[in-house]
Amino acid sequence: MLKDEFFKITGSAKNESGVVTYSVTLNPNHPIFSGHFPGNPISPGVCNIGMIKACAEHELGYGLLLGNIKQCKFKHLITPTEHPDLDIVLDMEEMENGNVKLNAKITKGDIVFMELKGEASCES
Amino acid sequence: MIQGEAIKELIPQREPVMMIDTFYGATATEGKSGLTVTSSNVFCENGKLREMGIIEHIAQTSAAFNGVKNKQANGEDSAPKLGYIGEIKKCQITRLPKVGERMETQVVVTAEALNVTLMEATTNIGAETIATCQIKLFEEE
Repeated sequence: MLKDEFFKITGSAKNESGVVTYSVTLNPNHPIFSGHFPGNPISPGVCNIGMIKACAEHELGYGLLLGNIKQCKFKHLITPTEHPDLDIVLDMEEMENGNVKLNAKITKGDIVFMELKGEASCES
Repeated sequence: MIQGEAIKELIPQREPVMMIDTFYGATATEGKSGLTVTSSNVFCENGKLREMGIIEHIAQTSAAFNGVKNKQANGEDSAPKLGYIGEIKKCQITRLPKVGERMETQVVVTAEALNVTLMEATTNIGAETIATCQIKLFEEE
């Protein structure tokens, strides 16, 4: 839904402790930006959550229901003009019950745009 | 009850991101809205409204509540202020609404300070609760 339309993945890298960083680029021409807000494009907080989920699904290779967001803090607005290129950092753990524990953030350079802690279930 | 184009008097979001189609009204501390899920909804996929759509629906219910309060305080002509989600906590979604289903969300203010409102939201389809959430909303001055 959002992937390849609202944003696209331009690369990914995994470090030695298993944390994956996805490089993504926003599509400034996506219709969402014309409604949020007219003449003042800002990525909706829910789309930031959606980008994290989409990258997690891409990494895991299956769909997720993000049914439990323990905490999600939005610290800095994301605009497609000022911040079209973002890093999505995923620290995931697949648990015995099949759920995925997810700690994620969206950053670029020194800026942390948002942080999310939650748990998702596998969606067949 | 406020519906259709008049919703735009309460919230700053516009198509395709409008996630409430009705605002049922507000008391001093509570507000309620509804949305019937359509296949053209930007957050719909394979016949279901995804998590993003539910959370945006909750956020816009809070925004519409603030929109009503803003009109009461500053006059009917007051335009809705831009607002952003500051924080989401304890957000549980147990199932996704299908196309054609109607969800309704009740928000209750638990704390207010300057341009920040903290609310607790409950989203139902009929008698079934499908989502609960704590949300902190920032508004621009």
